[in-house]
Amino acid sequence: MRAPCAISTALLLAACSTIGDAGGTPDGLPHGGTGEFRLLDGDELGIAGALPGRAMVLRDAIERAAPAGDFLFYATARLGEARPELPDGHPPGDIYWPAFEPRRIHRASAWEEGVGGFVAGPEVLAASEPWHGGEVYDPWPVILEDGTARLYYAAAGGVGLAEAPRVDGAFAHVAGPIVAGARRPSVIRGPDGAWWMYYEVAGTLQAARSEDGRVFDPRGRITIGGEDHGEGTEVERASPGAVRVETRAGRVLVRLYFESLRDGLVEGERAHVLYVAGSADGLAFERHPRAVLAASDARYPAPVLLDTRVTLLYASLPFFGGPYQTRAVVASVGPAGERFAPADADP
Amino acid sequence: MPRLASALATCALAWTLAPALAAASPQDLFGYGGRTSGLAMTGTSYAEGYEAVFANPAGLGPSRRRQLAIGLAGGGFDLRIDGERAPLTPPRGMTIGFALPIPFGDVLEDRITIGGAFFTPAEALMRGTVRFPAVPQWTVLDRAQVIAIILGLGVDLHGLVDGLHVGVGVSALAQLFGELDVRLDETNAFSSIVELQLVASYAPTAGINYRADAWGLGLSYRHESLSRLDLSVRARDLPIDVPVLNVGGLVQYDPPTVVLEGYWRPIPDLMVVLNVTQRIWDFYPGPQVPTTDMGRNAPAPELSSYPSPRVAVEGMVRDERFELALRGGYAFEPSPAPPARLAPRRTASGEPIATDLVPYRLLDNHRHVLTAGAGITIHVGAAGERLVIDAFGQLHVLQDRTHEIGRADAGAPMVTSGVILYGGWTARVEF
Amino acid sequence: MRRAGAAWLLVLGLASPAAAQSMDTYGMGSRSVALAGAVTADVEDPSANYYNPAGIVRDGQLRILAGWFGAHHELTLDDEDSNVDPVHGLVVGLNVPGNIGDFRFAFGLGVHLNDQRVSRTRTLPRTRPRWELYDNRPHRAYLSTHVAIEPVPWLRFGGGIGFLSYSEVDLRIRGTIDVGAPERGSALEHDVLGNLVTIRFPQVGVQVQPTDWLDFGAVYRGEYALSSDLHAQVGSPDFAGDDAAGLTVGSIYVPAYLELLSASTGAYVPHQLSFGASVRPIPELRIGVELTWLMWSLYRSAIGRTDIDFRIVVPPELGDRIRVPPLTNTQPVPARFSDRVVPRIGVEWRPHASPEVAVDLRGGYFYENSPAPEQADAYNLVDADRHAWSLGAGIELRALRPLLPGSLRFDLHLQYSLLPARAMTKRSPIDPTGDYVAQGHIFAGGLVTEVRFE
Repeated sequence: MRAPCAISTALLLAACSTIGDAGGTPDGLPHGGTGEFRLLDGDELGIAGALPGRAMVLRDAIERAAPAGDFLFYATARLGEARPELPDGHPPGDIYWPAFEPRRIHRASAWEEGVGGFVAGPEVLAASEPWHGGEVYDPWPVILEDGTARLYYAAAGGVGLAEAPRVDGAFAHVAGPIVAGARRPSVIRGPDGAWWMYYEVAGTLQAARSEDGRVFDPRGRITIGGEDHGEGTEVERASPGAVRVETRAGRVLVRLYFESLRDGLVEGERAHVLYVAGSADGLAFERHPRAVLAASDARYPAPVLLDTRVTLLYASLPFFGGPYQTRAVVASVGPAGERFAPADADP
Repeated sequence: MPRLASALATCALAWTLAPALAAASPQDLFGYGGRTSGLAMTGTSYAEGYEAVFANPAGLGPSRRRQLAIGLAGGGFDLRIDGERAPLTPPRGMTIGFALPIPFGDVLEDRITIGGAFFTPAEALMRGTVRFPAVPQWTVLDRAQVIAIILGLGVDLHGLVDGLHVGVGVSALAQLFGELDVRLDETNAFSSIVELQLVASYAPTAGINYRADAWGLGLSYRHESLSRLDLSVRARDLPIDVPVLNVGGLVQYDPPTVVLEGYWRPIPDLMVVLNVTQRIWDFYPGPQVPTTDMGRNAPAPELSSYPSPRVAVEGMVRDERFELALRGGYAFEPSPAPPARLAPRRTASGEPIATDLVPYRLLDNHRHVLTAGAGITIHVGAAGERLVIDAFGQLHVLQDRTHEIGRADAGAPMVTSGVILYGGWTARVEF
Repeated sequence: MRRAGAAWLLVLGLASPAAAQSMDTYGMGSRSVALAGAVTADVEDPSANYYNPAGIVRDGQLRILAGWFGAHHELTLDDEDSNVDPVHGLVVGLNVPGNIGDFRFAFGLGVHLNDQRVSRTRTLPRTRPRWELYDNRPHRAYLSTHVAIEPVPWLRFGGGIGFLSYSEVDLRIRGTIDVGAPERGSALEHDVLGNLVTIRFPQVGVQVQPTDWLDFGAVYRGEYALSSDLHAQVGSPDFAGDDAAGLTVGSIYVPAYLELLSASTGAYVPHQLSFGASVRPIPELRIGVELTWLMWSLYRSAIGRTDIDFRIVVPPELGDRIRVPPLTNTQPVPARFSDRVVPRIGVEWRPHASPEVAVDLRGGYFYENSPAPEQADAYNLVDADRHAWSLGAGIELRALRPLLPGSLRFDLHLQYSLLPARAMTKRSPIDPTGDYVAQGHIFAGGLVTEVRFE
């Protein structure tokens, strides 16, 4: 009777073929940091009631913010006593700085809950040099292998450098201007192991190279090739935010997020849209054809890699909460399908 | 006669266009195998070997020789609405069957036989259609394009009750499930993910027969065999909410069927068969499903069950090496469907909405089926090996029917009629 | 020879339901898998329905095989589990020999039926990485019937024509979607045509046995590609007639039309040609070697075509609520695969044999170099080389008369496959997927029972 039993069993087992489950999906797919990025929500950030993506709650005006370790460095200024009239022709989306006190650089600490959120912190650098012109801004922190921290920043005369024994220590101005006339520095170790600074000069993106991170040798404009499928026409590029990528395949690449200033997208205005470009040598870049963040008027990108496939991208969006328009720091994640567990959820 | 000529022409064209390995006979409409199809789709009491896998798996029990059979079958539809021809794909396909007595010894000697019966349509393993309810559709007849895989096991209870056999089987059909997911992809462009799965659905069969020297009785039951096509269409990331769309329905349905049959041999070379086949259509839910979870469904099909009487005769002429069999039969297939009519749509839960009457053109007619066939058996080996070739033909005449509504919403009531021709052959070796 | 000719016609004319898919990756049966598939020369159990249909007539005995098979994948991209679905299901095989006079023939049946589904196709976004050889291809039922003949005692032929099917779906939707109450207020109905279209392909084989201790075999398995075609139409292109569709926003009707055509290849099995030899230097030891040539270079691609036509007439007052998204049509992308040659070796040793029982131990190895090129461009048909080691054992019970005039076998196998790390380096430094490393392991095993009637 073994054969009939086997056949009966076989028929019963065959009936399982009616299950038709939905099938598996990958835990995570490789991702090249090209977006589209998704603004984190309040549950992911751990900041209750926050607007989508808002990574730090602060009433003062904030411009660029850049992360380093568990900290976020940002330029900020309080509203001044005077209430000057907004002049005609003031670019929409730009903060009207004459209405605020001089900008200084502060350091925010990571919010205890969630991912990507910060709580506003103390001042770490203020204008002290004549070439500062009374204020400092555009911070870009770097933590070295030995734990010491550097803070690149911009002021009226160009890019300066401050250092601290630790990233949460006291920063002191050490050099500047190390690149005259530049703004919005972004410094990383390049594919060749040297320090590379990307910065903005008069609507162009340029690069400088340094062996020690203190003395930079300007290399002029970087080239950005590739197709641009975005709406409107790109007329300027600004606000580079670079990140060094060591791929699992053993390559070192540079991803450079930047503002594309475009005509023809918003009537009567020059629109700011974030794009990304990649390079194997740090000088010749190829752009991704599409914008990385759908939100309008996103500025000052500052990326940080969580791992080889997940990138947090800090940026700035317009914020209307006082007599003058300011901007808010937002955090977004790419790939957009990546989702962080709510802060109070069990792991 | 023009209708018959047209059907013949269609049939001829179908054969001409058919690939060399063509033909299939959807078993519920035309029967299965070369012999029983010529005997008015009977066989519950007398079918043996691979044909018994469909007709009544108990018929496998007395098989003592291995069988391998192949065959071709095909046909043509000439169905008419108000005299105009309604397009319906004719069935064509291939028959493969086998029977295998398991050569156990001792108490299991000559006891167990397994068998398989397969139809493989020439072009599509399954063609499933779900139409808008207002579109004229031959729901009962348009089931001819589907593969069948049937396995059976018969047991001969000799020694316990000589002549008594029991059998069980299972038939498999494929169902198609899928998801079409339209969403923004990694590049912020809309793209689609399509996932389609075929899963199997199974329908059990069971039967019993008793054979004496000159007569026999058989009873079989085939459970409902159905196939669904179920696609979920989701559109995400749109600026508006779009409900999940459920597209598909019930594309293949053979109702539960009970068959009672007897045969009598007044002389050894003459067999008379009487058969009553009861298809239980009452549970047929209709082909359509609501497009959205809370949307309205098509009207209820309201099919009913009527018995189908059948009668067949087989005569034999034989000598030492050859046998010739001639067969003929008649079956009446009453239509389970009400006429095309205005009928109320249903809620998603199946309740009729009396205020929402829509035309529902589910078409079917009573059928008178005449069958004929012939078989030649050639004894080819000293140990009793045989080659058997069977051929059959069927003529289905659809009795004219006047419906309650017309082809168009404002037209006069439509009249449906038609003719179906179906034929084929099988060749099997027994060794 | 006239009978042989007639039987050959039967061989060629038998349109058998057959196919090759999970068999190609994991093998069929237990003994043959434990021998790494190096059995084309002398296979005679029902797994011959896959490995070499000539083998079903080899020993002239009725054999019935039933068992279970399973494979678990641990395949990763950058150490993230790709969650490639496991494959497990039922294996059934049947060899039915026969004689008419002194002419020997047999027919056979081989079945692998997955537990979850008969088959699955997936059409993914074009750039999304997918394990091309493991994600979908094994999810196919296998059903084969063959006929074989033995015209002379040292020569056997076998074959059949297999078929599978792919799906074509054509659907139409009409009516309205109520934007305010999409579930309750929408009035939609649909019409759908679904076809499972037949594909046929041949499988033929030959076995030559010049001496009792030496066998040669060759088999050819045909190519097939399973497509997945879907055509969806919502509304009518001129926004009029019974088939029109649109949105209702309050009292405003917004006519719309969408047509989507998606066509892709869900699974491809290339032409395969296997040559094998087996030798028995002593009766207790069998060594089989084999080379299989797989013509992957003929593979076009899994990345198919998508055409989308979307039209909507947005009234000015809804211009800020309804924005037409960017839609792009796509064209098939060539896979640029290469042919591959797979070497196999299998060794079987019988340490014990008596009239009552026999015991066999088996081992095997094969190496599959990946046919997929490095995925340097935007598309990601992921694959890596594969080393597969297998072990197996079998026990045959021979003293079961009078109930069973033959024997009863139990065979077990385990197979481990290593897919060593393969780095995919993108040509573009800003590729949306980026560089990645693909690697993994596959664990497979099975247990079969075979009844053999002498």
